[in-house]
Amino acid sequence: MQVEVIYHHGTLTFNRPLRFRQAHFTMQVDIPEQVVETEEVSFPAFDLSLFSAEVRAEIARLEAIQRLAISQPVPKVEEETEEQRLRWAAFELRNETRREQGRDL
Amino acid sequence: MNHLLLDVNIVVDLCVARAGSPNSLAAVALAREQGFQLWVYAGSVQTLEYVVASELRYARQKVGDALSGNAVRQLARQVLGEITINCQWLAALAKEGAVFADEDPEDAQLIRSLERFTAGTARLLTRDGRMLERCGDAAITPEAFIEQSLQNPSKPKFEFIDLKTQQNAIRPQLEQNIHRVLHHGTYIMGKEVELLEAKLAAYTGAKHCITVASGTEALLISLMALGIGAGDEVITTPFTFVATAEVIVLLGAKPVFVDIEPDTCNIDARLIEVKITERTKAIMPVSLYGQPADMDEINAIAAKYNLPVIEDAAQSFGATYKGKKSCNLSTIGCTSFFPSKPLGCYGDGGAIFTDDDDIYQACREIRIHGQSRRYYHTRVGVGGRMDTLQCAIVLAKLERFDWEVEQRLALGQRYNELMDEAGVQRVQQRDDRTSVFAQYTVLVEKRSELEARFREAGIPTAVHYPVPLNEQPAYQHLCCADCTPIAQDKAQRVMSLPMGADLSLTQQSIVCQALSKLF
Ligand SMILES: Cc1ncc(COP(=O)(O)O)c(C=O)c1O
Repeated sequence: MQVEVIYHHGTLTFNRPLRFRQAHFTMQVDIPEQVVETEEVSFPAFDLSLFSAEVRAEIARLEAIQRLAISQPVPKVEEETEEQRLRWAAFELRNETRREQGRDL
Repeated sequence: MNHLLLDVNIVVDLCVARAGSPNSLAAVALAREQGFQLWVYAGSVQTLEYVVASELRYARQKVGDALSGNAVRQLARQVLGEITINCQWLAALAKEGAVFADEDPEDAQLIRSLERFTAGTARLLTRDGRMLERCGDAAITPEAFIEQSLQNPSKPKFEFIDLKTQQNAIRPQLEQNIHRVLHHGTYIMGKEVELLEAKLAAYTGAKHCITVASGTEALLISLMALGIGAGDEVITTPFTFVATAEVIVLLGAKPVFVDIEPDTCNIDARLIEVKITERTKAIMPVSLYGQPADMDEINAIAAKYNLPVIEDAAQSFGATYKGKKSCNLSTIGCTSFFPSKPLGCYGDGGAIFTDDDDIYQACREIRIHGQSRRYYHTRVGVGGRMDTLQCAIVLAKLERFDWEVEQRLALGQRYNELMDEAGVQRVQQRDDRTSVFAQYTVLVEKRSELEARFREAGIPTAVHYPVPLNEQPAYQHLCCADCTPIAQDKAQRVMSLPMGADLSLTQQSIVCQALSKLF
C-alpha cells in the first residue's frame, strides 16, 4: 500500500495511524529529488609538489588510513540495541541541524 | 610553540575521504612539519564517533557495502584511534560544561577550550563558517593555513631544554595525578608525598627520603640536621650554582672553596685534605652537570676526620657512581626538582636522602618548623615541605624516568663523539660513573662571540657558570679568586648546549654542525 509520511531529522512519521504485525521489515520510499544533497562542495586544490617530502609522506600515511577504512572487511557484530538506535537518532538530529544551517559535519 | 585545535569537521575529513579531505590532510601534515602541536578536544569524542560512523556508512554505501550501525561505529573507533595518534587530547574542563545558554553548546565548548592557551599561540582549524565567524583570528581554514604556511613557514622553536615533548608523553597521567590532588584536597603532606618518598628511596637505594620545598631547602635542612652553624667550616667547590654556598653562609658557617679538576669541573678530591681544620664540619661536593665527583676518595678523607659528606646532587638525580645511584653515595644526598632538572616538577621541589635514622628524623622535623609532634617544637626548623601537587607531578614523570635517563646517556655519548670528531673541547666523564647531563657543556674560546652566533642561528645556549662563587660580590671576601685558578679559567670558557631526554638526533646534529662551522 502507499501512504504519506513526513521525514523529520532522520525519522519517518506516518500521516495516519497504522499498526504492524512485524517489528522489522523493508519498504520502498519515494523521495523528492530536490531535497537530496547532490552537489559536492569543491575546494581549491593544492599542487602536492608544493610540499616537502615529509609532508607528502604524512599525507600518504593519512590517505592510506582512509582507504583502509573504506576497503577493509568489517567483522560481524551484534545487532544494535534500542538504546544504541536512540543514540544514532540523537546524533542524526545534530547532523540534520547542522546541514540545515548549511554547516559541514 | 604553536597550537592547532582540530574542529570535528577536520577530524572527520582526516578519517573519511570526502570533499574537504585533501586540504585538511595537507594542512595537518604541514602543521606537524612546522612544529605545531595538534589537539583534539576530549569532549568531542562521542560526536566524533557518530559523525565519523555516519560518514563512513555513507562512503561505504557508495561502494555498495551496507554496514550495520554497530559495525560502522566499530570501524569509526578504529579509524579515530589511528588518526588521533599524533594528536594530544585536550581535556574538557569544568568551564566547558556550563554552556547551555550558548546558541550552540558544542561550539561554545571548543571556543572556551581555546581560552586556556596563551593568547595568540593557538587557533582552531575548521571549515565551519560559523566557527570562523565566532572565533575571528583564532580560527583558520585548512586552505588559509596552507597558504600562510607555504608563504611564511614557521620553524619549530629550538628549546634549550624541551619540557613540552615530555609533557605530551605523560599528559594523561599528569592530569589525572593533578586532579586527584584537587579532589582529595590534602594539599600539604598528602598521600602523594609519602608515595613519592618511598619511590625515590627505592630508586636510589637510600634507606630514607624526605621531600622538601626545593634543592636549596634540601641543602639547608641537611646542614641544620648536622648542627652546622656559626664558626663552622664546610668544604665545597666554587664552581657551582650559588645555592651550594649560600646555605652555608646563611647558617653563619664559612664555605671553604677547593679548586676543581680541569677535565670534569668537579671538586678536586686531592686538594680537600689540606683544607681541613678543627672547624671543618662537613664536605659538600657537587655532582656538577649531572656527574658525581670522586666520591670514594672524598668519603675516605671524610671518614679519616669523622666528617659527614653531603652530595649536592641537584643536577645528578639518576646518575650512577660505581653502580650506586647518585643521592645515595654519602652521608646525605640532596637533589632538586626545579623544572629543568633531570627529574623536575612544575614549580620548586627537592629531596634529601640518607641511610642514617637520626639524620632522617632531624630532617623530617626541621622540614616542619622543628616540630616532633603537632605544635611541639623540639628544634629550630623551617617551613620546608614540598607540596602535594608537586609530588603528584614528579610521580607522573617518574614513570618515564628510566627511559629518559637512557636517552640522556645515549645523547651525551653521541654529543661526545661528535665533539671529539669536530675537535671541540668538552667536559669529560669518567668510566666508573655516569652523567645524566643536566647540562652538556663544552669549553670554548671567545665565548661571547660564539653565543651571539648561536643566537643568530636560533640555537639557545647557556653558561654554567660565568663567575665562580669566590669572585661573586657576596662571597669574594671568603676566598681569593686566584686561590682556585682552574675554576677561574673554566668560568671563562664553559658553554652549555641544548640537552634533554627529548632532544632529537636531528636537533643534536644541527647544534654540532653549527659548532663545527664556528671552529
Ligand atoms: C648545584 C645546585 N645546587 C643547588 C641548587 C638549588 O636547587 P633549587 O633551585 O631547587 O633550590 C641547584 C639548582 O638550581 C643546583 O644546580
